[in-house]
Amino acid sequence: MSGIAVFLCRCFGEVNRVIDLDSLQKKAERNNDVVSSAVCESLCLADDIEKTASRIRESGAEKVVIGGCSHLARGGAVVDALVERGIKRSAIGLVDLREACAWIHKDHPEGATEKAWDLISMEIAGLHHRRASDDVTVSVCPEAMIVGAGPAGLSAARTLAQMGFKVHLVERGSNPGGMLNLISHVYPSDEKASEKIKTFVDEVDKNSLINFYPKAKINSITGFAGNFNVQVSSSAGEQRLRVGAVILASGARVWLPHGLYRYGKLKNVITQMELERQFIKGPREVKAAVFIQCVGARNHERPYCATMCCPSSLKNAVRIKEENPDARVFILHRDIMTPGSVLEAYYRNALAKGVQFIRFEETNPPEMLGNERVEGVEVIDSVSGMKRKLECDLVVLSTPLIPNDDNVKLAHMLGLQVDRYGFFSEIYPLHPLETRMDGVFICGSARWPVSSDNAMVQGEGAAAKAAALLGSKAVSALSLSRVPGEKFGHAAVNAEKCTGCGNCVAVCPFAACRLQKMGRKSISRINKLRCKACGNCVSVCPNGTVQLPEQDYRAVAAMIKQAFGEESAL
Amino acid sequence: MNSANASSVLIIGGGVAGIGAALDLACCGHAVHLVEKEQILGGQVARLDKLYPTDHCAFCPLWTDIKKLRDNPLVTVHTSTEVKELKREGGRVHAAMVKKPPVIDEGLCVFCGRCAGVCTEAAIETPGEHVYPPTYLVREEICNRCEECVKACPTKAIDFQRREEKSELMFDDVIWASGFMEVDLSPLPEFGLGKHPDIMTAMEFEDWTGEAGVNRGAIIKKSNSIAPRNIAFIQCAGARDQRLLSYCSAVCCMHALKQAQWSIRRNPVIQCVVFYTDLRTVGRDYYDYSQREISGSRVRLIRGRPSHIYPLPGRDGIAIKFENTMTQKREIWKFDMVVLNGNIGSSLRKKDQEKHFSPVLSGEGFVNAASDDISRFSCGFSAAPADVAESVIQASSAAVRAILAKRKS
Amino acid sequence: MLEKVKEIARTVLAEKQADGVLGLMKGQWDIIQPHIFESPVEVDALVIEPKWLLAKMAMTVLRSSREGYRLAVVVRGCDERALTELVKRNQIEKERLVTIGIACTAEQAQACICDRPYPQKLDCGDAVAGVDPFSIESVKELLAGDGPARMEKWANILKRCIKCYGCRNSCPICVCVPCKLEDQVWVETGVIPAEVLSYHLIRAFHLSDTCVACGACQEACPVNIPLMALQLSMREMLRETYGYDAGLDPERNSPILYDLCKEPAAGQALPDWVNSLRKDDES
Repeated sequence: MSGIAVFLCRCFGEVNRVIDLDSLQKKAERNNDVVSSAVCESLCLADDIEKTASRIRESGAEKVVIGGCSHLARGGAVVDALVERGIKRSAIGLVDLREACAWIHKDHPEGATEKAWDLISMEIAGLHHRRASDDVTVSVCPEAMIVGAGPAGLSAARTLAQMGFKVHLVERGSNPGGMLNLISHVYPSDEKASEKIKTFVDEVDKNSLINFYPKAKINSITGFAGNFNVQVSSSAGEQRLRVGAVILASGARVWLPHGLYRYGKLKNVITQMELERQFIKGPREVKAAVFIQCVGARNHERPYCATMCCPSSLKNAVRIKEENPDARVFILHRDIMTPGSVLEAYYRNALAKGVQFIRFEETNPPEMLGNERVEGVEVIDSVSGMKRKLECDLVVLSTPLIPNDDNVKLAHMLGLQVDRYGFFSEIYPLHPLETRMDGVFICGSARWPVSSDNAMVQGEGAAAKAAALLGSKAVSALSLSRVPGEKFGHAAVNAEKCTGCGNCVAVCPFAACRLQKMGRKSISRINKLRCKACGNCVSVCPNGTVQLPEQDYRAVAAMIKQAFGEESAL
Repeated sequence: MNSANASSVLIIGGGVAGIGAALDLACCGHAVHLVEKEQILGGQVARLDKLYPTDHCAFCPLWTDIKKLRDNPLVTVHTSTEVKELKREGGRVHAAMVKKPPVIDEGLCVFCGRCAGVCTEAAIETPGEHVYPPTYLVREEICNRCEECVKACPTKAIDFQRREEKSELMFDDVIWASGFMEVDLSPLPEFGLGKHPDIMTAMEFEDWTGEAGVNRGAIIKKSNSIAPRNIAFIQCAGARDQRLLSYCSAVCCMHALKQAQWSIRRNPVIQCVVFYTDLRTVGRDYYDYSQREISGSRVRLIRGRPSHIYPLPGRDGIAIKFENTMTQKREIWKFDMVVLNGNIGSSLRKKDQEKHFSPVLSGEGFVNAASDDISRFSCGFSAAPADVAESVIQASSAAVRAILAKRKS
Repeated sequence: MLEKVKEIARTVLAEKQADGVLGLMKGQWDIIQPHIFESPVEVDALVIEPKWLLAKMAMTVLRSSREGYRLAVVVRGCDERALTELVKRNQIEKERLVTIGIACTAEQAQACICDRPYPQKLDCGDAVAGVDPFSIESVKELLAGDGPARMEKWANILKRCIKCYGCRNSCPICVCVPCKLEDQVWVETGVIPAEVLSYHLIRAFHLSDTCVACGACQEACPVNIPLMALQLSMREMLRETYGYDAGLDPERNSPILYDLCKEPAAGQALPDWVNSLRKDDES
């Protein structure tokens, strides 16, 4: 058993006016493993840290118990400072005697002292069994793979290449551009879509750091942050790529409104994308047009707003008005979704240009009139309460973007999660371009439906995140932590005890566990760089083979035994 | 990384956008100076009780990022600091900053609370329970300078004699991340702000009812500390209005829904009504959030912007005159509390348009990126109304643009 | 039926479907014991009574036999389910196993209070309807009452335990070496009866999603602790919540272990169109 040094902090009287720290010290000294103890006025000021560190060195103690304030107050800073001076984090036990004991039990000094002893003695008992996870460092491959060459992917590719990183831009179609190839102009700038992607496409062609793989299919991705192994087949053949980061910019697809508003049955009832295709060819003659919003969206099947349909309709409605000044143009909606300053101005502009807006309720959708071709739309205007009949020769249905079919497959390969609609999940709330797998980033409509301008901004953002990883020469398992310096190590398997049952493989959210054949048996192997020490595997392992060294079950058991055993009586 | 390409960037504003941009720059090997005028980091998001649509509290995700920021050797954090002068000098940006060191030194504060205990004016407080690093603050506008706190502090952390510290630094670029502030609603008296203690703005309601706030999450009226039977949330108060703010503030619809749902959650008897024009639920999971039932009841949604909000005589509450545009009926309803949403704008609005300091602003007070190279990088609300996700994404984008700008030069 | 079984066993050996048949043999002095029949002639001595679970033995045989050795096993319903669970837990390679399934009689089903007294691959005998354990008074009585009342009742019953480890040893699913029940941290040597919460509830919980209701544990217990009632109640909970039955589908993982991408948690209803995406993903 290693020697333990115990430090108890008075906190200038805050703790010792309730808790009898001297009696605690005496009890601690009686423990065979405690080689040094001290009661101090404070532990967190600069001088205190030095004194504590030298006391630990002199006593030869390998482990330390600090009885002070809470981790978030000054306790955490004390632990950090000791770690900086060479003491292992897993060898330090921080016990909160102030917030969790002295302050809340200030009217019961005897009880508080008993509790304080419980806390300290539990920590002494548990600390024996805590070990440190071993670390592993791997070099980072300074190349990225970007899945999808739409606006998000192109923007990410360009940004990373400009920063000096090699990029493998993998695209399912034959050409880059994604959705921008299918629309005429973008909002809110009203730039031509083809012009918009031209600069990016030129970059892809000219920049030697960007390798473009058209007609690509990703067959497998394995590995971890800094070292992903990808097998991709494309018109350039079968290839194995090694990359340090993966950016998913695979976009989304448009939902087709079969069964709604007599789409497919009535001529001139078209989708927004079909209108865009016509606009690419040139102006369209229209006498009266009706746009219908929220077709197949914000309903029971797809309870979300797809972001882009309102501004797209505004854009196209204004264009129709501009090309056909005498035309009557209506937008039938359930709310006009133009948040912010730029889009709100875009809305006002449409109003100024003479587009008319009629609100309808989800329970009373508009009806199409006509036999072979659409002749009009009947709608109950919920603001006036009146039924209106709008004669028209064109009806445009705004349908939402839905996730691509292979999102789930990609998610499996990478150990990602998709949300309830099928879009890739992000880290809420402050890391929207990052996923639960280190080294895998998301942007554009693969993440959530977004305009092409915003997709480009997201592409830059994802590139920024990827660059931080790619720019490091090496990455260590313990450094891949969202909570700085406090990753609870990673799970470790005792190969002799493992029965190969596969429970851990089944529950690992980060796909960090896998079974490997060793002779006649299978043994669980844990990828240290993927493991996030969530503890799922520990909880399902039938015989305790998998453990988190810093939180070994023997430590917890020892703490419980100490708390309820006879030694805890004063 | 090639040190010739290493940039030094000034980020103005220590809210989620500023923190995000700072982390991105530092993680890519660039030096960052983050300037924040308040004593603590986190900006408006740190003030929030809960975040939509996950109902997380704002603190936990923030503190891990703030800790990472403060531990990063490439980051220098300047709190209680304002930038007084900015100008381009030979390819770099010269910044003059002034720091008003807080009365209580956060490096020495052990968070014992004795100062707050002896303060005769209740002028010492923690800025919410959730703050990192933990420290107490003196509200100097209430303080009577009796200096009892100075005597009580065990680490001599309190000093009323601290002087302003001026500093001048050179940077390669500036990123604006100065966030939003409340805009005065007096040009629009029909909302009744100031006429009754229970007519308040959304941020006031957030502070008043937050779990870390004065009432520990209890929903009570300001006028008599009794629980309200109903609360009205008025959307677009000041926003989408040519008289004050012509834009949509982007975050208010979801913010009101969150406040309404939490009010019901905390006290299922309270009825909440949201008066809206367009219920903007564009982001991830927002629409689903808006359709939720809490404890078997729903937030009631009424489409219509009230024409007049006024206190009723005696203790009868507050009246709201409105037309329910979906039933075409004009009504007057009584409410115990009214929360106004919408009057938020870029915090740069109030700055004088001095060329040597301020970025170029649009008419509404947002940074006009195209115009001038001190203004070229901005993110979050300083650029345009944006929610947390949008702001953080823009921050990453601004960071990488700053990095590329340095490479080009 | 015995003759039919022998015929099938002989065919399996003759056609080299397997290298050996594991079953019961009536040997010298009429002693019945498990035996690996490796030639059709030996099969004459095959018997199919009494109930004898061979799943664990099959696992051990396959582990210690040469590579590629295939084993056929004569199994009743519970044995087949146990083999399925062992396959799912990677203890037996599916390709090396062949089953010869026999049905139990109605009397046998009654004796075991079994609700599925036949294997899914039934080669011999007619499947009879099983017995619903919860229709039996004694079972109902054991599970009656609220939490605290049941806890008290069971604490009294479990006090009889002498820690012979018979339940664990006879269970076809309990294959972990070392076993948590021998870990001093949870179950201390020398403490008798076993601490109720540690020994018995650990075992019940570990088996909650893999117990195949074979009854071996209860039969082995020298002090007649009604262990089946405990396991059956857990099985019922899984049936109700997840529609999951251990030992029936080798492809379906226990719902307590789920991969969020592959199978939604119970109660999390995903929209239909997301599920239709899943149909495309065969991996």
